[in-house]
Amino acid sequence: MKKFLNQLQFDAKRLFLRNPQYTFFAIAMPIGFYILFTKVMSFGTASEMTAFARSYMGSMIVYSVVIGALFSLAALMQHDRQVGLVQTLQLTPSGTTYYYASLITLMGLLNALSALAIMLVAVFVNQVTLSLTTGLGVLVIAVLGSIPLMILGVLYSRVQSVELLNVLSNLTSFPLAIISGLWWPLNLLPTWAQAIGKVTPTYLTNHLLTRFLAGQSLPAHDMMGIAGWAGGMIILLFVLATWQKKAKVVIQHGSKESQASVQ
Amino acid sequence: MPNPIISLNHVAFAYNKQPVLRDINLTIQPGEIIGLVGPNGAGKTTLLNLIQGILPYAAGITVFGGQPGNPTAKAATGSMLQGNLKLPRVHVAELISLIGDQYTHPLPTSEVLALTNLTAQANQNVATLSGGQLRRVTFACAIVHQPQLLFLDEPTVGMDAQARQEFWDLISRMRARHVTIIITSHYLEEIQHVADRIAILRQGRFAYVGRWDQLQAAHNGGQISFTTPLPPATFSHLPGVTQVAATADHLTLPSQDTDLTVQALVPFFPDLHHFTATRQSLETIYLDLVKEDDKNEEVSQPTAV
Repeated sequence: MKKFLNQLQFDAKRLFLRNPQYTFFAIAMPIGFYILFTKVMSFGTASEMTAFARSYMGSMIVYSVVIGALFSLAALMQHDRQVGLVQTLQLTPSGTTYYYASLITLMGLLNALSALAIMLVAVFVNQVTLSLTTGLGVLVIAVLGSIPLMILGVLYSRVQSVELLNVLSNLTSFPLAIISGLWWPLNLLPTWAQAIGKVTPTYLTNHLLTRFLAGQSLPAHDMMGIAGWAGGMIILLFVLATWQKKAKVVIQHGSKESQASVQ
Repeated sequence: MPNPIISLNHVAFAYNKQPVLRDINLTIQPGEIIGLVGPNGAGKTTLLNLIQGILPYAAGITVFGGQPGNPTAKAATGSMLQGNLKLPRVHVAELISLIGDQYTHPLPTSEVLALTNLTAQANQNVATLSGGQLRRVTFACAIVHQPQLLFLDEPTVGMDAQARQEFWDLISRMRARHVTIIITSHYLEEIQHVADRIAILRQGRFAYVGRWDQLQAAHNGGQISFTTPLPPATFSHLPGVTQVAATADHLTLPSQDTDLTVQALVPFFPDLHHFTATRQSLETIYLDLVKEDDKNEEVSQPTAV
């Protein structure tokens, strides 16, 4: 346990406490969007605006998770791999178990923290009413819904080039946010785009949050969808890791060919 | 004789069907310091990675009595990889402490910092360190658990002269503690002073394994130079002389056997001035050896592994 806590402390400092970029992009920016869309831009009646402030809170929580996973986590893990931290840990008796356990835990905590921050803004700025149990439910859905995105972040971290990772993260996060209705309502998009958007893990999580916040039942279809995405991502990650390990390596056992030696 | 720490028996390895190591044989005893040298692409890092279990297991490798990467080996091995652990937003002491946490009995972080002369940088961000300081941090991470076996892959790259000296002093102290060390470096002079044996790797094979002095004893070559009024052709047929190079004021005779050539020059001594004879340096022996192996390679290409 001590090893895990030390690793967690180590990662918390470098990923969050000493990293203002994380706070800005994964927490402050979604809060900024939330305030912009719910306070500065005004549309509909007061009750419609209140309902929108409540549901848009869920969208920005999911958006925060996307940024944390596809930018911060992916970049951190890619860098760790490139400078040899992962390999250094692999060579120790503990291996990388604590490293991965710590990052998973930390990202879960950070996602919960950003969800909490957005909820507090919703409560204090938009007077959204949230009970403690509703707030806790939102945290649980946000953390569970983040799992496929976290695995996607880990998958992206295996990309060799920093530039390519940057392109991939940008090309995934922003279209994903738009097509899954995180920035503006999905019904503004063409029908075909809506069909795609509704199967994305971000839409499924956001949909769960919206229904939960509206006091409606949680559709099993959404939960199964998130689990399916998580399973698919894990398989993809496993395949990629195995391929990367073996792609360039062909072992030839026990060659005893004659040697031109001066020994 | 104690059990060897590492035993390599007919080890071969290929990347993408391209042979990198061919029929490697070597036994390393506890407390030995081995200098692994060879030109770029000779397979040094691949060999180290195989022994450490970073690459998939290749038959014929035994480390601490088991396969590479076995629990005993992991607990007793320290590794200074070629790259540096340049992590942003991490302090030097935190990184060393984190690596120490992975082992059962690590040294206190403050002690490792003092050993590696990094106490002043303890709370400095790793990413802001100079190349030499970064190398020392990577070294500190490799020795934090007092390993019995230490791999040093190009350990002094980026270090200034003083840091290099301090580093080799530290290695000498580890020798006194009977730590087994395998070093790869491009600085032959450094390895020459610290290694008990050298293993010269060329195109995936050992071109030489043994002591430096034995290698030098086997190579009597050198160079003789002097000034003389005699014509250069006078010396071209002397024993051992491979060439006569004349410059404005002196002659230089590269020789395959300086002892024989000097004896043959004795009758000419009254006409020779500013006479100097130098033995072949280890670096030139090494380069010759590598070239020799190149020629062998050209003459008889190995059969596909």
